[in-house]
Amino acid sequence: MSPLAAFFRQELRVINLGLEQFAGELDRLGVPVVHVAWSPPAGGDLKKAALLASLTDEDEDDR
Amino acid sequence: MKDSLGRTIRVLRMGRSTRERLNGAPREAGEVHSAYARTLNLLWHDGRLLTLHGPGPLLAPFAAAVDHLPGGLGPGMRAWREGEKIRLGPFLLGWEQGAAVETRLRPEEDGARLLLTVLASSRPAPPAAGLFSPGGRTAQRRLDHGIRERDARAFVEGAAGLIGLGEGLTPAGDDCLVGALAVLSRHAATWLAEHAEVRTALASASERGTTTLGREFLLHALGGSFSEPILRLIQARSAAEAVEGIEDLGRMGASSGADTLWGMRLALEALSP
Amino acid sequence: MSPETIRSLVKPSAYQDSVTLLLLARQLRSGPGVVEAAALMATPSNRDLLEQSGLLTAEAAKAGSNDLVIAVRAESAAAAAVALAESEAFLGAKRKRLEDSGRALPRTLESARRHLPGANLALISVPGAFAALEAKKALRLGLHVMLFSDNVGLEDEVALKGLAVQKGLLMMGPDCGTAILNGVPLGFANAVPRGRIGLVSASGTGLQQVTALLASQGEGVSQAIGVGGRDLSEAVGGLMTFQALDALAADPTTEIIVMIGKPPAPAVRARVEARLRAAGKPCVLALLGQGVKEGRDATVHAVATLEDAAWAALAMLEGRPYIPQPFSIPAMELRECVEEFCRALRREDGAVRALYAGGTLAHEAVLILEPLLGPIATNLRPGSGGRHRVTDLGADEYTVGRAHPMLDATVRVEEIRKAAQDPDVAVILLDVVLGHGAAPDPAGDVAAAIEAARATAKMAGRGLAVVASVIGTAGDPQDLAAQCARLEAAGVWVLPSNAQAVRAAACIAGGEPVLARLLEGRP
Repeated sequence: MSPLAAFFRQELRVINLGLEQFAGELDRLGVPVVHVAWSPPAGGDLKKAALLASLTDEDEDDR
Repeated sequence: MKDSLGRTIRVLRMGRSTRERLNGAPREAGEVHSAYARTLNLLWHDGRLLTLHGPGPLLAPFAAAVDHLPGGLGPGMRAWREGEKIRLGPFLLGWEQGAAVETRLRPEEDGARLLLTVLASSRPAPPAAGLFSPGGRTAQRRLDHGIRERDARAFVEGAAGLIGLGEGLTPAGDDCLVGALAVLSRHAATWLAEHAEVRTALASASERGTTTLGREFLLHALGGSFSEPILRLIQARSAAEAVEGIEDLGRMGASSGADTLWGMRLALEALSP
Repeated sequence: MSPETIRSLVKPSAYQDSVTLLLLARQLRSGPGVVEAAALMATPSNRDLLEQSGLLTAEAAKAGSNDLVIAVRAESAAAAAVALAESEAFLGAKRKRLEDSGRALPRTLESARRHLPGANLALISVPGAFAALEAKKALRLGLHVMLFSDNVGLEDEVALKGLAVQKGLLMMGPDCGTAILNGVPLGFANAVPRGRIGLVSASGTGLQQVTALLASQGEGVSQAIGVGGRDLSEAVGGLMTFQALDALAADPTTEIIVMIGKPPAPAVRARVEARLRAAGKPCVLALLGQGVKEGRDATVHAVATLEDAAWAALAMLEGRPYIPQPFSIPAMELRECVEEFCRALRREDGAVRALYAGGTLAHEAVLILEPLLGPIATNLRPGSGGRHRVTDLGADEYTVGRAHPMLDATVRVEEIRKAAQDPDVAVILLDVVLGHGAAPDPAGDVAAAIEAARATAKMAGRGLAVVASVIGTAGDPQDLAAQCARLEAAGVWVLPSNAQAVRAAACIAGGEPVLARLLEGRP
């Protein structure tokens, strides 16, 4: 079964980064959701953040 | 969103024993004991608590994580068995598809060193002040002595002094003792098994000696059952896992997590040669 | 030194959480004249503790383990009384803002996964610059991604979608505002039943219009997958569109596939058509653009409007042909309505002023109005000019530093006011979008402005018609029926779809010739 076909059969469980209202809406619908208190990584420095991200690159297979 | 009569609340995750308790619920399953924004404590028909909270790891060994915590329920509201579900006001709780996880610690006589090393080098938040009252200090000393010398009596004296002591809805001393018991259940399980009187004495002391919620945590701990954050930390296989686990646990409650970590550290140090 | 007073308050079976107790204790200790204070559960150990601290009263000594004791030692009886009264107030207020001994929110995607094991979708709406980084992280962690953020670079989009396709994941976006996956509305989406129609869309409000119409007939959606506005460009090459089409083709619950977007780059278009035919299921193709050829063959039915897409899909499900109609209202009733509005205008013709929250709906309006009324001035096409104007209020120039019109009607209200003062404007055309994520009362937000606008025109001796469509379903949070009623009470002519509302506006502005043309089926 392709990952997408498997996904279509799953219960949606959402991680929300950004607008809190989306998490609130999903929560009200009874969808499992966790809202991330996100702030720009590396103190808002885009270059540093990209570098950090590439350094900690791990290819996890979650299935 | 519109009204939710008959709305199903699904259990996503629960301990194995919790599933049995849900399965075995009679028509009068229980009632609401206390309600908060993110947790709901039910006083189950068996006289013990069963806690509901939102998605995520189990915050208590007697908890079930649900997809949506029912709101608007107050203490005293009844819980009724309806077929394969439990009715709570307008809500129907179903647990058929929830994952049932083991909340008991597997003993492992080795490995205490990793956690002790990581704990010793971390800087967790300070535990509650009540642990350092004169009574608290004495209790901690006795507990430490009891573990070091494998002296059951001293251990019980120390533990009894911690039960019900200090700040919090689960008093700080309870959390501290639970942390110590987690370490012992993992790394000194044989000793605990050989001294059943420890369990009996502390179960008895917790009956009136602490709050209902504190007692519930203690009784489970005495049976080797703990919350998932504690399980994950105690069973951490790498320094990275342990660091994460300490962070996660440390954030819990006002000082609950910090108090638990304090007890863990106390026991680990007492166990180390 | 005056004798100190010890006072206590015992609250039986009062289960305040630990954080509350901590804050309460702090507040007590900071009170004027307070020497020592505590807020503890009255366990035997704590009663001892209170005694050691000189805080034990007779009342507290009799309390039980599940009772809360609030005790103060103060310089005077008055100070003690005040401290206790404030603690009562504190607890009363706290009851309203309860927080249990729960945890702080996770701060990263990684720690969020620990909070929610089995998470399978990341919904990302952080600022564009960082959105690509987070999306990449999410994909690497095996999560599907809905990328609501815009301002994500084209190169990033291509890289993200390449990674997603490699891992068999969805990367919806950038600028994907709407999706419905596994029955769950995501972003700005309507409450739509689960059903047999699968959709792939480059447009959020386009998806909303089609799904709302399907829902109105009781039919539903298997999956509605957003692909972002640039997916069918040559650079991106339709990566996510093809991923989605393949998935819907393989999905046993999907019987009909609907594709919504704009005409793709020619190189991409051929591949799209081939993929649709390979799907092995009937498909509806709604690519809104000039010169779109409607028509159908055995598997693919190309339509010109969003409404047609919905009806064509339904017809396919029922195995009957679909022939587009300009209006679903009976011709006679339509004529009467138009004539009444035209009479009220007191002139031969006038201009349309369309003020849209949904970009695709605005685009559809331009496409329908142009053949009927002539050149249209629109911010969708820089440099365009014309008597009639269609404005997408969600465009950058209107939304910098302010909320999107789907959420906040301030800008639209102002534009309605301005339109009313223009003597050439005969018809104001609006979209009112309901659903999750939208404002709680979109109709109410514009109703007063509409009433004022009509009054303004009336006082100046001219008529002003207002025409609208309401994009929503009976299941949406904002009571669809009440929203329509509110608009009608303000004198708005509410039509069942954007396409029909646009045509109705054209009839009023252009008079009998336009109406006749539409009813006779001339293009």
